[in-house]
Amino acid sequence: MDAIWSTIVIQILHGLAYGMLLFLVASGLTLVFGMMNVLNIAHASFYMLGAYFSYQMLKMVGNFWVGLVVCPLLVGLLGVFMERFLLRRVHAGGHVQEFVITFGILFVINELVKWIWGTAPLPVPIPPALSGSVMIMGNVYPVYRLFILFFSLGILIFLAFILMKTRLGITVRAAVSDRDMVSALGTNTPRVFMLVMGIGTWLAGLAGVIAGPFISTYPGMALEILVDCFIVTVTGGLGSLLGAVVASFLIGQLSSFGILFIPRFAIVFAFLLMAVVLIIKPSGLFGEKA
Amino acid sequence: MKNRNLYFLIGIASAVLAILFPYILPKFQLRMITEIVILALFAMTWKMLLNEGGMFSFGHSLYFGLGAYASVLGWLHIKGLSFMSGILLGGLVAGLMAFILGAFLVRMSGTYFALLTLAFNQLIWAVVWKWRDVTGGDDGLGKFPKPDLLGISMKDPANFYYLSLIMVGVCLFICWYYTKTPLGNVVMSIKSNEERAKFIGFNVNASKLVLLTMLGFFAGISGGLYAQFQEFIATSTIDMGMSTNVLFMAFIGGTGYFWGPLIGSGIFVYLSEYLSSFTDRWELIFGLIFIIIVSFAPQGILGIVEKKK
Amino acid sequence: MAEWAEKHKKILEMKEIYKDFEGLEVLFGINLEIREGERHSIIGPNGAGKSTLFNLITGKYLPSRGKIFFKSQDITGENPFKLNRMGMARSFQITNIFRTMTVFENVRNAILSKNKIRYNMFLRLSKMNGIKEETERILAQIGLLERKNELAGELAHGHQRALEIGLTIATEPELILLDEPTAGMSAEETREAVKLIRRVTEGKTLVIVEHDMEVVFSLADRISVIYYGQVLASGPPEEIRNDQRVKDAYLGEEKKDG
Repeated sequence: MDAIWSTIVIQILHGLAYGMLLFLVASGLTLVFGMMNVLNIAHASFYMLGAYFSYQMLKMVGNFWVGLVVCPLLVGLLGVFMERFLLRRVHAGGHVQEFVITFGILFVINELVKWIWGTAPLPVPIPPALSGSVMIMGNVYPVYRLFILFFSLGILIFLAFILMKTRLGITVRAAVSDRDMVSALGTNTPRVFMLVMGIGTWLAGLAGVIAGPFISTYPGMALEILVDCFIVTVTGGLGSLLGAVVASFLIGQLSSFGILFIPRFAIVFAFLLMAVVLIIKPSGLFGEKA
Repeated sequence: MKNRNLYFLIGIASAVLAILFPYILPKFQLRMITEIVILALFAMTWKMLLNEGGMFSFGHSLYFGLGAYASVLGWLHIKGLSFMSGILLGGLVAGLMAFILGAFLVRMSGTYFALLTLAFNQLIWAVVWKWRDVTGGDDGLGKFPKPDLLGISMKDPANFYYLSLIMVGVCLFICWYYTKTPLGNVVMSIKSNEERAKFIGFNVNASKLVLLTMLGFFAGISGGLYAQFQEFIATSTIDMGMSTNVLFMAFIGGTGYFWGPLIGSGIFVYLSEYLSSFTDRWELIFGLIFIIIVSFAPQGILGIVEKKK
Repeated sequence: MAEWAEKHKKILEMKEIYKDFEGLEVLFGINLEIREGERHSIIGPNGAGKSTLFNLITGKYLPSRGKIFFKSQDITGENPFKLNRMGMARSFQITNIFRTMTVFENVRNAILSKNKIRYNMFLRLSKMNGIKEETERILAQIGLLERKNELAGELAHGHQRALEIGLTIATEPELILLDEPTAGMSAEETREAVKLIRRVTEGKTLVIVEHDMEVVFSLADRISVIYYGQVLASGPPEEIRNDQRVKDAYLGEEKKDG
């Protein structure tokens, strides 16, 4: 009986860790969408860049923590560039053009990464401070996974704080509810857009840095997180952070337990959940009607 | 009027050239033309889904790949399956998938629709990849029969070329004709104003579903043809790369024009062939070209041509 | 009055309709009866819930509570396209035409729908002469025949409103719902619009939401006053004109604004 409980707890922890990682990535995506009505497909490639930058930084400086601070900022900056020079240009062309260009950017970043770092997975060592494991209910559990869990939680709380308490956050929330009103009130919308995009991609980069030691870095990681990320955002409802939280939690748990039952096709559970939610509520759990 | 005569001349010249190609082109070039023709149909289905149907698909290789796999599995496992039946089988399976998925997808708004097509594409790709016993996984499937068609050998590149030309031509004709029919009109009016279309009595979801199913069927046909063309298929026919390729083809040619897909397919095949002989990084260059075109010439090559007039 | 009511069947009935949007209550217990063949006007201050009423009747929204009956059938929450096929059509307050299509193509869409030609992939549209004639007949009725090849999105406002009405009546509905058809029109255009409306709704049932009192009193057989989510009064124009509650609540406000 104890064995079953401890397995369950371990799986829940696995699910939480992965779910939180998913949330980090998905939150950036949904935030940008809610604010700017732009679905940044390239978002996943910023996640990947975070991981690769961190690998590179580790090679050059030898310190994971420096990477943790610097790399997401670099990625965020890239996001701002992308918004300022590419997205803004095609904004007038309509959604289709935006879609297509972010798709092109995803593709190009993928190719660049393959060119610079090659196609083989690059192992990223777990930082010494976080290596090793602890005993949880009689099972060995890697410290690093706990780190992913708690660090992401910390970021979540930090995000929530910013959104609730700061002027920027309130502006963002208002803009997500009523874009026109906010620009009519005189906020410098282009600047806020850049900032939000920067924060969104920063989150993705951060997730990438953390994921590196967990799953190593490889060119396919963008596409893999892309699908899970999309499932999370769609299920949770585009534009809803709360939806992203709930959905990442659910998908995280489903992946974790799903692997126990159908190791090869665990992703099917996530799909089923998404399908069921969309049939009942086509705009996702907390999404607004299209 | 001068324009019409010009178009007519271009049309006649192209038709004559098309018929003469096997006689004037070296085998290698003929193969490339064949590939262009087959992929043009695939690109046309994507373009029509977007331009006529207002639906943006991120996972279109699903239908192409299913068509390819269904045809090949048919030729491999159904004794005596004819050439044409195999191709049609591919189309039917793809069309069926389009219908089943579409029933769920058409009621979704643009962004959700696009994301879901990607998600399902990936799901089926994963299934195909892991189900090695049936699909060969990433080793793929080869050595399948290439039956004669009405006694004519399809192993002769010229014959295969003509067959592809005719089949694709028929499918493209149907696509063109569709835009002149009431159904084509309904879907176009849905694209113009979906809400009003509903309120004057059109079943928007059903109409979109018909279009999606038809286009899925044609995409499957092009998949089957492609399989015979390559004489080998692997997960690359149903992966994200192929979904990306078709997007590139449609946009580079110009999604607002009937011949856009053909132009796009031509550019894609030629560019990928010649660029890849220069550098391993041809895909990167391709992606950059794509971004440039979308940023500066969103209407594609044919859009540029039109502006120049 | 009672005999009139007896003779004319109820074509539309709303029973105890409540509607709230995420906590914001808009309609509180609406009971409304529309008689076959009548011209019924719905008036009330802005925000009172008139457009919401239309949206509920035509299937765009689902009522939070209550039922709607059309020709004695429960249609609560039915799909808009099904309702249109059952014989109901509406116009929109904000012009909702097919902007990227020509005037001709706009009306033709409705004509095709009316003739149940929806999934036909075999006939060429350009060869369907019967459709062409019907379309042009409607175009003549709404006075847009000469403009048939113009892009709908490029028409002047008044013409767009006429097209809006044209799209509504082209499917030959028994129940026509017009949502502020004369909004934004000059006095002259309004007069023309009223003539048009009277012409095209001959023999049909009309429910019209309007702010322009002249239009209301010249068209309506009966008037219902919606005041902040409830039916304040319902009856023939004279009754409404003299109803003290109405005067206080609504017509009084109108008079103030001149």
